[in-house]
Amino acid sequence: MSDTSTFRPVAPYAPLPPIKGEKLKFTLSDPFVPTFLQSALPPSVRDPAQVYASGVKGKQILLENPARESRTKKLNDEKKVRRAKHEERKRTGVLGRTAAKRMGLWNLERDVVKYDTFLPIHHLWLGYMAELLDLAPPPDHDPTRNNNASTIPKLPNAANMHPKLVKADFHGSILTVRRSKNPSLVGCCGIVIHETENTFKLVTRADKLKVIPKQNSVFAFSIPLYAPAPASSLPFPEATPQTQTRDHDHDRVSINTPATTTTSASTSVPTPALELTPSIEFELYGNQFRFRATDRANRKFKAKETIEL
Amino acid sequence: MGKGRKGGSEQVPNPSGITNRDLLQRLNFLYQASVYLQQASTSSSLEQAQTDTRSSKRRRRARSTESIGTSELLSDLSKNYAGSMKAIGAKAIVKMDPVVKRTMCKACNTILVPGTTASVRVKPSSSHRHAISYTCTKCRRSRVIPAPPRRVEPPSNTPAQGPSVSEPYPGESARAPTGRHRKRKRGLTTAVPFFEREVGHVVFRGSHVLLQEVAERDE
Repeated sequence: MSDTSTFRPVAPYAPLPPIKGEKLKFTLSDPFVPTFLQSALPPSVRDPAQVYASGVKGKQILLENPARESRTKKLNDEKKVRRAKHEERKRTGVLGRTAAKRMGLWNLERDVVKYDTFLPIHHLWLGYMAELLDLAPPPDHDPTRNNNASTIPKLPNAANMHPKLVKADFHGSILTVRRSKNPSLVGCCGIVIHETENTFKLVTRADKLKVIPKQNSVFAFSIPLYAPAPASSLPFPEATPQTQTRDHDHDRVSINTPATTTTSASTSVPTPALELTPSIEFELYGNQFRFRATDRANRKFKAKETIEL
Repeated sequence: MGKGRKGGSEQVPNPSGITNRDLLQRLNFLYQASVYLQQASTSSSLEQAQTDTRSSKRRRRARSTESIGTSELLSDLSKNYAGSMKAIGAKAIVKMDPVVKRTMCKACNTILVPGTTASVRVKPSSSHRHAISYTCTKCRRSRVIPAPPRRVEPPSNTPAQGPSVSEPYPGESARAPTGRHRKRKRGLTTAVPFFEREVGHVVFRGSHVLLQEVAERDE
């Protein structure tokens, strides 16, 4: 290659000369590697052909060091992934399980609840009910007039209340288990502090937390017939347990979660001596109430008949 | 809560005509209950802490676990109520008022009470001059809300002098501004937001009127 190019004048458009030279001409009979080994090995090696046969022939050899990821880059990548995860979590506001545990979410199991702590919530709930159901303000406090004229015509329409009550919030209400498949639950009464899809959690007067399944039980709760007077709201009157309200003006209505209303209105004469307001009692069929409290907000309830229990 | 608030001036506003009124009432109830529980939680933890300093060590330990349980339980319930508020609002597409929404932690739904469950700091902001950051003390989540200086009512006055009704930071007005500063401030001031203007809001509790503003006509 060298002797020809030095003497000839350069002809730029001429076709390239064929590449000559043994170096690049490899045939099976005359391969490159053995000859290269012979020339490249130091003279101290006695038999290059044997070195080739034992160490090189038929083996895959990496001619260069493999490309290696630097450690810092690896660390950086890990960091990036971690940060992205963190950002994502921060954006969505999701707590991890460990974080939630550390913050002590939902260890309701300890018996540290106090009935008196939740009594104000019950009174708040009564106010909410009065507002929701648009209850009339109480008539005159004169007991004689109360008995005769004003209470009876002002009985609110129970059928209008049902769709509102079904969508209402029951945190803070006083529920009593009226009937149940589990007989030991019957008569259990307390303020609802938490409602889940399948249970009510009640605080009883004995400061006990009861988790009561909605399935297979019928609950009862009562709402005063009149809105609480705004002035008398400060000294909270003691809440009356369900069993005592039986002898008052008492309109038993069952909410069969939307449907059938067995309105057996039993209007008895209220006893003014006890200073208890007349109330309406509703029944709540737990079997048909098994939804999350938040799902009930815009749920369409359908009329169903309860056959068993 | 924006419940029962109406800007109608000519006809008598009717609270029963509001859409989703029952849901708004429910949200209202949940919010009040949640705030009450949060308060009860902090007060119970404080109370226990006070008694702890007096009682003996062993009793203190037994007591403190109980008190932590109580306050945790109450705050958990409070969070749950606030969370259900959010869920109801999202499900039924009932918008919560921003004023209410901002008092709940975005991450853990704690009711943010400045000093007890939230630390409130005024921070400098490049775009709004001031921003108020509310940091939840439970989960350290912070929410930064821009708080640009409000425009002073009579626009002819120099905004830096004279205390006015709508000046949110009286300390800011006391500082004598440089010329450049004052210019920037003027450019950045914003008007009073709509819900704080007196345009004749009527506030109802239940169905009877609680507060009736007289609309300002001279605007």
